[in-house]
Amino acid sequence: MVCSYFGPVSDHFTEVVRFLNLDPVLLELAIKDLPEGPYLSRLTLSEQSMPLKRIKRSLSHQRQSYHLLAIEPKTPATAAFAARDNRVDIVRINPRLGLTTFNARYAKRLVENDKIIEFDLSFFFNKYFAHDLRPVMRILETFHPDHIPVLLTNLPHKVEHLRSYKGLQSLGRLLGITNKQSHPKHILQRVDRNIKKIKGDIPFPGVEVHGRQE
Amino acid sequence: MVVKNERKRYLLVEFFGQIPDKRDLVYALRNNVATLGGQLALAQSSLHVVDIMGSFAIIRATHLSRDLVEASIQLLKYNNTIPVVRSVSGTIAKTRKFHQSLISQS
Repeated sequence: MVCSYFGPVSDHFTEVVRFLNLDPVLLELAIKDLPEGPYLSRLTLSEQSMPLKRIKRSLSHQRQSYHLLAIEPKTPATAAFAARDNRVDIVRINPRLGLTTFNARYAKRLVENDKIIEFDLSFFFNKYFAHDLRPVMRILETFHPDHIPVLLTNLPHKVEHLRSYKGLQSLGRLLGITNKQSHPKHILQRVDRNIKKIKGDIPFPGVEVHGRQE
Repeated sequence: MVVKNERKRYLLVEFFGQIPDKRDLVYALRNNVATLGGQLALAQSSLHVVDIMGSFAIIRATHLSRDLVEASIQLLKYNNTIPVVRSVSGTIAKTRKFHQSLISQS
């Protein structure tokens, strides 16, 4: 099972991961800070922390350091960039951008460029979530994620907020976004491919070098 | 007159951290199901906490409301307790058997 975790790692964390049978976990950490274990690193770039120009510049460098690169678009321009750039693996759906960005045409572009979309289900954990859920429902009416690999997350910043991927899938099932595409194997396949890219076994897209000697 | 019994699902849930008592668990689950699906869904779910055995609980629901109940278990907020659904079965005997096998493994 694959789950994303964005908070600090402690001994308690390892216990919880073992309890939830999470194997492996996507940690948003620098590789040097990664604890021992079956963890994978991901980097989420957001326009809140850096402008689009800097995101573009830093992508090539970051591609070599992280297993997965995600972008959380805040403007339509970033959303369009994230959909077409080969270095980006995951695009997090931002319901605030609405149907003008996340429409059927955008979904088609994501399929063409082999992207994973990430749905944030953290609003479910609020007491009153109808206000936050409505824009997501509007997007899902036209944005059919049937052919795009889906990663579900509740953006856990505390260990106690971690949930099993099956649990998140049960939440996604209420919205109709849990299907075969939301299986964690898609994410693990992408991670395998990226590890090969980092090692240099895939010099160009579609070309794989076997038996390369260091 | 033949009345067909509604199909049931028994969910075996394990808790990490403080284990809620039966009354609190029932109250929290009912609240969550009502928040997600409304009072009608709560009535249709036939939600019942059958038993609490150590860190495990057996929760009964109708097979049609299984997704809703499973989702409401994930939303449980009780002293930072982490719930996880270990198995879903159609009979309570099978659920208890699975529980025994989990205990014997650990």
